[in-house]
Amino acid sequence: MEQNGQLSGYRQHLVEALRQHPRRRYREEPGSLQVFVNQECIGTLDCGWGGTSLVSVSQDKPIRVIELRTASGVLAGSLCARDIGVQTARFPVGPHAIEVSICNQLDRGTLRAEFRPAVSFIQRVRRVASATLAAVRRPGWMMRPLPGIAHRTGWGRAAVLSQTALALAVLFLVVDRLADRTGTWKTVTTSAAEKAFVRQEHRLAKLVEQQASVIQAIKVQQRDVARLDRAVAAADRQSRKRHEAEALLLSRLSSEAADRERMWNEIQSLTAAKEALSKDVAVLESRAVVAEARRENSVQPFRFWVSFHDGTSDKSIEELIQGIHGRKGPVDAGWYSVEVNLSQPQSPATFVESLRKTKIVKAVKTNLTTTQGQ
Amino acid sequence: MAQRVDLANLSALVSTVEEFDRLTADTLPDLLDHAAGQTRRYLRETGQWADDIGHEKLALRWGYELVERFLVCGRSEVPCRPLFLLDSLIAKFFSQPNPLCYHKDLCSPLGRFLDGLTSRAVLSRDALTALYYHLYGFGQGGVVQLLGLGPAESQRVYKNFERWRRTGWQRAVTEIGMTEAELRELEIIQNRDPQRLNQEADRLIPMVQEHYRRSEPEHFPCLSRRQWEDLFHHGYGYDYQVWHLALCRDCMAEAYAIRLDGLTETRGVQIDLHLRPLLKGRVASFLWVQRGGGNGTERPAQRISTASR
Repeated sequence: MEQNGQLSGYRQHLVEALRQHPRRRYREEPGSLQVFVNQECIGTLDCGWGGTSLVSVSQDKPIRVIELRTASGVLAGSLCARDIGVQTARFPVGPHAIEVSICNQLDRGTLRAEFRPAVSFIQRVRRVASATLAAVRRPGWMMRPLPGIAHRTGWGRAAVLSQTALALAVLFLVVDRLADRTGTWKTVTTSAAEKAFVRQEHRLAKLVEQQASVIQAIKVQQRDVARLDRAVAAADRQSRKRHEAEALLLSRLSSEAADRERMWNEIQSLTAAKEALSKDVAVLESRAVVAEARRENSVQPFRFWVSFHDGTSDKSIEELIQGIHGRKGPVDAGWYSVEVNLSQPQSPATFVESLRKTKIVKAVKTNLTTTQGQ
Repeated sequence: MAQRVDLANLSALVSTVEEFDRLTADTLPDLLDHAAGQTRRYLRETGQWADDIGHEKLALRWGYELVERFLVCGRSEVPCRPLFLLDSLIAKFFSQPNPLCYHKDLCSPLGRFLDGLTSRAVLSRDALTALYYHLYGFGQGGVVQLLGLGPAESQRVYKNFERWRRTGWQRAVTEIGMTEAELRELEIIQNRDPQRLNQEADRLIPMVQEHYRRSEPEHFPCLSRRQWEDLFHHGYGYDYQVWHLALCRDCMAEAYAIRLDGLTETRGVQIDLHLRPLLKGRVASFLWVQRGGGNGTERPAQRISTASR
């Protein structure tokens, strides 16, 4: 409960402070105004001595928010800047004013804040007086012949004549003013002339102010043009860099392409060689198959009967049959039936002949019905 | 219901500055509640919220700061829809990395005092200069000597102290949300055991200073001892000195060691917390204390600096 009361009291204080804010801003003596750019204090405007004060900053990132605070922390001005472009604002601080100009680019922001103190009555009078003085001086300045025209006789004379006429007119005006001041000519016409002169003075003062503002505008334009030139130069540099990078990339790409073509050719030749090799292998394989088939075809089974000398051991008989790769068949009356595969060019006759020469063989016959001698 | 109607009005298009001023003046409590609500939401969503008075006050304080900016900035944004503009300002503020200086310990009365004072010092030159007194006990003369200021800058420091004494401190304390009872409670602790309060402040100050040093320009880094010596020797960079030393304890120690010979009062750079502003002189201090600090209330005596420069 107590906490709720405390909170509502605090809230009420804050609402009241917000309500007082415009009044404080108007009453506040600016002292030294702090300038914040993107929440960072970038400098102070000294407003205490009565003259103008200027702060300018240029940074590598755009300006998003600016704030101007008096020495006591009152927010005198705040502005959310546009992303790109120029923006100006004027903030009143008491009777004075602060003029702010922001120029934002994509990668850059510039701020110019100027404190303009309120113009006092004496300063106004002084300004009008100086304008009048300038107006009086101006005809004399204008009477000088223009260079390039003076050397021509006709124009030179005309210039001299016009200068003389103007000088006489000014002299007349001065005498007229003097006479007016001394009170010798106190007529209605003089007062009218005086009014006209005052009007002229005002016009001249305005003209001077306008000229000053025009000069200021020209300067601002010149600065903008210079900035634009710099931006263009920067863009040019960037595009040149990009072109160079592209050229480098292109050369790398072309060399890569050449490499790729060379590799492709190598692959092609390798493929061709592989194909030829595989053909050769196929031919060889087919030849091997044919040879194998022939070899298989050339083998013929040959059956014969063999008898051994008496006392020959079974072991010797087995060794002999194994030695000739024979397949033993049934034994009939001492005749062993054996079958062997005979390959070309071996014939049954030569085989039987060679077998008969074996020590343990008694006789060999190819048919059971044939005699022992066969 | 009434608030909803007012918020509906604030969503409508405003075409002139006068209309903007009128509408915002009529709906100030709603604007404050809206901004505080958004701050509360941000704290909740970032897991920095607790249902206590410290957090509620934090939300209200930041809501107030945001509405203050909106009231001034909005005038240059007309034609606009005020509520949308406020929401956009709030969104921009909270989209920054670590927009608030948040730590649970900073929601205590002492934490809120230190946080609020430093936050104010970022915005107000008066508060910035007063920070030398509130943290270290340097009076205006001490600040001038420590920073080696010239006549014009010294004059400014004296004015800063004067304005802070007259209105600045009271306003800052109100805006922070410190009540007289809380201040008195802190003063009782300070009188009983000053060491304890200073130690607690010593613990909290680095995190507060580190956060608020972000508001310095990028070209305001911490300097080496040699660079500080050069700075003092050649007598330039006043702005940097005032800003940086008030917000950096380490550099303050360096600067103090360099300037020690020129100081008439060698109090050191140990934390010596002062809750109330420096009073003008002994007589004025006496009257101030007798009257209860000008608030019409009785309170324990404020430690009076012997340097009534």
